[in-house]
Amino acid sequence: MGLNKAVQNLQNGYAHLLGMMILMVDENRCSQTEVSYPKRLFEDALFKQIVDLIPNPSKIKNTVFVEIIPGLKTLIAPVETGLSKPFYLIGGVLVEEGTVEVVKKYLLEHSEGVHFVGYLEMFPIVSKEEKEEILSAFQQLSESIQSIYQSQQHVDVYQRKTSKTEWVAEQISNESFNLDLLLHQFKELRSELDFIGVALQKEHEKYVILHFLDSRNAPIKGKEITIGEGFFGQVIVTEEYSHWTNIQEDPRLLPYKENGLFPRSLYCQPIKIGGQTKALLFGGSEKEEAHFDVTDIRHLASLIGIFLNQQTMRDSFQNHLLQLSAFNEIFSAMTNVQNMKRVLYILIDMGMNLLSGTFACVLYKDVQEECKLSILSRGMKNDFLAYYGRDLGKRYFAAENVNMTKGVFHQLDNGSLVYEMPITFRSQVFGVLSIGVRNEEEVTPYIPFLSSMGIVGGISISLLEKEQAPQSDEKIIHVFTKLLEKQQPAKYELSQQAIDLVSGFGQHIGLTSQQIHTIKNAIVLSFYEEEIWQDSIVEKETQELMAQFYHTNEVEHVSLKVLFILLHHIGVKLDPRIKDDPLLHKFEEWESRNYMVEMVIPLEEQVAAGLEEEEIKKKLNLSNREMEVLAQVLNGLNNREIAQSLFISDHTVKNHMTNILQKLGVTDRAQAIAKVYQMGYSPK
Amino acid sequence: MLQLNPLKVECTLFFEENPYTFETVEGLASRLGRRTTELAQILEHLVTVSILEKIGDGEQAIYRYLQPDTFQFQREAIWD
Repeated sequence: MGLNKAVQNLQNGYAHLLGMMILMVDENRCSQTEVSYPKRLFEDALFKQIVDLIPNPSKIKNTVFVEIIPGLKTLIAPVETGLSKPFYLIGGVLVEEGTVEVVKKYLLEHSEGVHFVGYLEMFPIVSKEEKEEILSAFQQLSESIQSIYQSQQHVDVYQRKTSKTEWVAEQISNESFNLDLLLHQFKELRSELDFIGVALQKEHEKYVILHFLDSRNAPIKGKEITIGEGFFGQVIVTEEYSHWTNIQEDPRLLPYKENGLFPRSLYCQPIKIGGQTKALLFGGSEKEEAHFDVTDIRHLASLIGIFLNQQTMRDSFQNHLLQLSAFNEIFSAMTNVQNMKRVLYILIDMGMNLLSGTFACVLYKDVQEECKLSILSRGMKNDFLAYYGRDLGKRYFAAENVNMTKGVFHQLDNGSLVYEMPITFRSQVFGVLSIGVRNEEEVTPYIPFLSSMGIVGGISISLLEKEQAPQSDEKIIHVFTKLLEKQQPAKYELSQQAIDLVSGFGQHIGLTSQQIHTIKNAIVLSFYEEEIWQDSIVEKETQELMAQFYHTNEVEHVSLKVLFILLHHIGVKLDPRIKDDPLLHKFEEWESRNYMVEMVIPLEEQVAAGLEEEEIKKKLNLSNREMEVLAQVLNGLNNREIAQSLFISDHTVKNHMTNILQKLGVTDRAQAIAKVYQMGYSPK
Repeated sequence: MLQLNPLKVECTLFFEENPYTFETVEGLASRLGRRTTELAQILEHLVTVSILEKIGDGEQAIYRYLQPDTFQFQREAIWD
């Protein structure tokens, strides 16, 4: 049954019960129901005349009797329907017991009453008691109709809420949905609201109004709310819903008034995400005692919380995708570049980009110059850089057996905070990336990425070192030499004679150290069949020289000539092709002079004979560890064997060897051995 | 701005690969196939972190890569 029919039925029932006509009109006296008659005795026009005679119904606030003409009484009751203006229930007409004759006389004597004389006998005549009962029943009727309207209003609101909630649930996942739309939907439901807004947390104790809807376009967006201050600042502290009424004189209202808002009632609800107040939902009304539905407000706050959470997750996901794409590009570039410095440039620049640091540097070992450490830097002064570089070097390259593969925060002497990320691969430290940071918190989200960057940097540098490192036949030549020594000592002696002459003669005729090194290798190999070593030799120069040695008819290359000359000199191979070569004569000349020198050496050896370990150490300025390594070299151990015997890493042995060679002023270990023996030292 | 957005990375890698490039925003936008508006913001950030240097102002401002400073010392000097 519809609302109107229910009201009409109720009105009809009361008309019969009370025995009088009843009608409901609005403030303009327009009918809202049909006239209810107890008996069909009157024309419709009569009641219209009665209604028109009621003076100013909008002034009537309670159920009362009104005399439309003296003696003719009608009942009027206002009905609050929930709409902007009330309706008015009108009932009548009644005549009070004992007044009929007087009334009749009055009607006959007055023009406005003549019309009603004919109806006078049909109007109910009631006693004072009955009049009171009718008044009470009429009031009940108006209250009942009012209840019907209010129930209907609740149903309407509920339906609108349900419909809006369904709409929000459907839209909340759409990218076009936003908080302004949500607030607009809510404001439409609540007619008492003059404005509504949301402030989002900006910093720990500050919130900024980012969403605001009102009819005055007040410039509220962007205003800050500080914890503890004003109405809403209190809510940040208490973390509970609050509302205020009759606040028109409250001094806290001043900021609102300055922006053209004059609320008399306010509410504020904290919006919590993960137990923390991340936003504030607030609203205001110009009504002094506005009724805010706290349940609805809490539901809206929950929806906003869900929306904000979803938005944060969406943004975070989007950022992660973008960062993943950026990381992918960085890692791809780092593993594709062919130059170690470019790997380091990427590390330092991405470090700066990532943390927007004031400075960044990379300390690294230069492949070409192992005895040196280098620093690339941005934004750091050179004098401090030198100091910091040494400090970094001590911490990352001096300590043995220390696993420094994880990033750490480090406080510099000047008070700056840096994040140091070692560039490592398989526990080997290639360098350290250091980035100046403001605080630890800003670095924390990026630590996994920085860690990956350190590892990728390590892999790239390791690959580049391997690609760039000259391939060495040192080990295989050492094996062939040892084999020769054990199995054919005589030939071994001859080979060593030739090898001893290579450096001197080679330098004499201007050969490079690489050429001298190749000829030494070739001397050893020439004592073996080609098929024995050909698959084991990797140095290109040695391969080429040996190919010429076996297969070339013309001896043109100077290294080949020297090889033939030396082999000829020790009597291993006398090749007719070099018999008349001018280089042979040059060698013979040099060798004869060299013989004179050799004649002197024994005397020196006598002097130097018995040189003690301490003396050689002092003479060469070697450290204890370097002396130990040198002794092992003299015993014929390779780097790996030395590392095992001294319980240190291959890498450390290599470092010590670099230093030893530098201090001896020689370029390879064979020269080092020769030089130390020449000085008269032999290990015990 | 996202600390490591793909355009910032692309731009940085471009300058590292072409360290002697002198280019305007428009020239870079053309080279990288990007819009000048989105690129301008990135370039300004790279200037603030000293990866790029900006020469001049306005549309004709030229950007160039600043190679990191290099400093070298003997390893043994560290242990003294």
